[in-house]
Amino acid sequence: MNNESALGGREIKGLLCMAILPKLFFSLLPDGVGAVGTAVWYTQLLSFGFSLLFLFAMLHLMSLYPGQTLPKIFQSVLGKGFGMVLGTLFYLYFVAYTADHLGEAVQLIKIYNFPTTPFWVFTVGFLFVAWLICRYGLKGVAKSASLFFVPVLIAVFAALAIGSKQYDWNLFFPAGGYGFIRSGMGVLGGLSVYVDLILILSVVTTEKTNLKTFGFRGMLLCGGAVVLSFLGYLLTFGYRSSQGKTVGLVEIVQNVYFNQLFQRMEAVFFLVMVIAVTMGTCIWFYLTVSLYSTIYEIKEKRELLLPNLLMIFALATVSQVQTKEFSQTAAILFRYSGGVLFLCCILVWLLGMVRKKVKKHG
Amino acid sequence: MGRRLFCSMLIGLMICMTGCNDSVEVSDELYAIMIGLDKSEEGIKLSLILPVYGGGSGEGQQQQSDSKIFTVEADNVYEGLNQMHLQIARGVSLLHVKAVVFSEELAREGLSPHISAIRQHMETRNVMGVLITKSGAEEYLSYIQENVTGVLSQELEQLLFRPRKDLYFPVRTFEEFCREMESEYGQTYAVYCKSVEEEGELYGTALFQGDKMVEMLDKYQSVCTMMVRGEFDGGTMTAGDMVADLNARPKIRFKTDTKSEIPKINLTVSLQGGFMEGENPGNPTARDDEIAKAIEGYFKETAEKTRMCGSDIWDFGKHAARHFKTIQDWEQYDWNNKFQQAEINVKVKFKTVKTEVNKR
Repeated sequence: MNNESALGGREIKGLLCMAILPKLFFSLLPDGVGAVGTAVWYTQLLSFGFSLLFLFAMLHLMSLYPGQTLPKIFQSVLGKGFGMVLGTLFYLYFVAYTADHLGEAVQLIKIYNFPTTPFWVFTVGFLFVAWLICRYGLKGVAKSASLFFVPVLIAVFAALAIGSKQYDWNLFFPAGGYGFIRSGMGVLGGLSVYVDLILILSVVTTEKTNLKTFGFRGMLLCGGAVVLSFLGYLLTFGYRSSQGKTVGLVEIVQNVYFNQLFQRMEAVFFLVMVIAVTMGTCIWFYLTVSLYSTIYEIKEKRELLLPNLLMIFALATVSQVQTKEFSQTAAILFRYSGGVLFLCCILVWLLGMVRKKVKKHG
Repeated sequence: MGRRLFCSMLIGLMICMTGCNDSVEVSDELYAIMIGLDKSEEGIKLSLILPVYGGGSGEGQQQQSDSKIFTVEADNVYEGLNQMHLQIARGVSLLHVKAVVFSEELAREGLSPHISAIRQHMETRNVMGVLITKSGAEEYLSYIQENVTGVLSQELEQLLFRPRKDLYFPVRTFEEFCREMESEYGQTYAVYCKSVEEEGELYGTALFQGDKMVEMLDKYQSVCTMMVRGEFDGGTMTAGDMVADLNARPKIRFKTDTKSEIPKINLTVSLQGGFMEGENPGNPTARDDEIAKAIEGYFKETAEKTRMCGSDIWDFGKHAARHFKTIQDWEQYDWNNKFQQAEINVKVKFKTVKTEVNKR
């Protein structure tokens, strides 16, 4: 559990891809297209560009405070008390984030495959696997992620290639989407896709791991898959029909008919979704626990696994019984909260730079 | 102790995650092949073609599938399906439905409520055909069932989805039908079948405005539609006193102008192929013009028909949308209404090339 040693390129790419890509199987794509319409592909491209800039800004911040992860830097820049409060808010967000994503995945599995199996069976199943892998620490999680990210990435691009049969390039237009303001909000919302960057920077330091090169490459893979998925979704369903759909990438494959033998391939992609979600839950869960242990300087993370597991299970269960209005509000909050977290980190970066300069001159 | 706990949890997980809870034996369910919907006094009449399970007849087993039609009258599709469950001992599954048939009478009244029920049903597939029949849906289902020459599900799939070569009705999946019903770019359409008295031939295209059927296109008008939409894979067309053998997908060029109140649309279709009757090898270009003119006539009458009933199924709207900056501007323009006043100019070019027919 305490083997936080250097991570290789494949492991960093694995962590990034397996934390970001499972969301493509959820309602991220239909919600994104529904929110900004035809402008979705370039708003997502902009969000990806801003996320890359964010990564480099955070790497710069980490170079100013060598050997420290993000929660520690918060404390160094903002003072121990305020840094801990901010770190705790981040932690709470990521607990809710993990529970929400897990809840959504289980709901999709129930709707499409196992309608009568109780919700808790799947939730416990996913969390149990996460717990098993998390026992081996960051290295174990990263190794597992590096094992699965290539097949998942291939599956994402395969789904887009299969779906290309039904792409209608005219659905790009009107190219301005719902106008400048909604597109701007779309860029902000698009940042939430890459919020997992914060989680990874909360655990990995630049001292032992070449985050700049590997992180950049990992982000390129994820960004490419995300932007192309949004594009594929728009070209398949258009801005109007995207609304009200649920399973993102799988839905693109569901409608493809090649011939009598080559049709209804969604079952394969449901399997990929389950693998991606299992790995994603594991990464979100482990990194959230690590975030907590870094904030409160708890060395034995294994002790924290079970309480966090129970908390996420409880929250995921609550998400199943909430009203429609509550879930819609939660979805909007999750869509834009990524941008707020990014903004907090950027403010800390600016403050960190000022403090370093003052210290240098003072 | 830890290892024992771990092993017992693993075994527990293996038992829980095998999907036994949701397992359904194949023999416990009847997999509907076709759904038919008619108008009735109570609301709708839901008909299903269900397979009849029985022991194989061993040697010389028939390739023809046995099936039976079950019909119920109900307020809506949900209720109809529930009633169906009361009639039949086995469960009814819609997982493998190949086509859904609506009677023309029902389609002219509006399909939205019925469509959404079928669409929201967790078992229905998006890739099934949509047919509108001149006679009742139940009648059509009976006709299909009686006249099938092989396995019904296979034949239906072949009929509805094979490449559009020498076929004069479009490919239409349920998902496409529903998607275009709610589209701002145009209107939806479906395959139209003649009545049972007319041999239930898949004849052309049913045009819709919103969820209501408004008109139908005959076979050559349907071919024009398929050509414009890029679905036509070749076939023959009677053009005046000749028969044109179109051997390739035509090149289509659109030009739309939305600056004025009345949208202007220019459509250029470049065809190539051979011709079978009255062929004059000495001066083929002269015949090209004749064929082009005859086919242009089909295009013009189709364009006029679709325009009159405000049913843009040629994707003009998607091209017109290029002239608008935002979705709000586009929706405010209200293409589906404006299309009824549109000025449509069609130009068809035909070039003679060697085809299989000519070579013979």
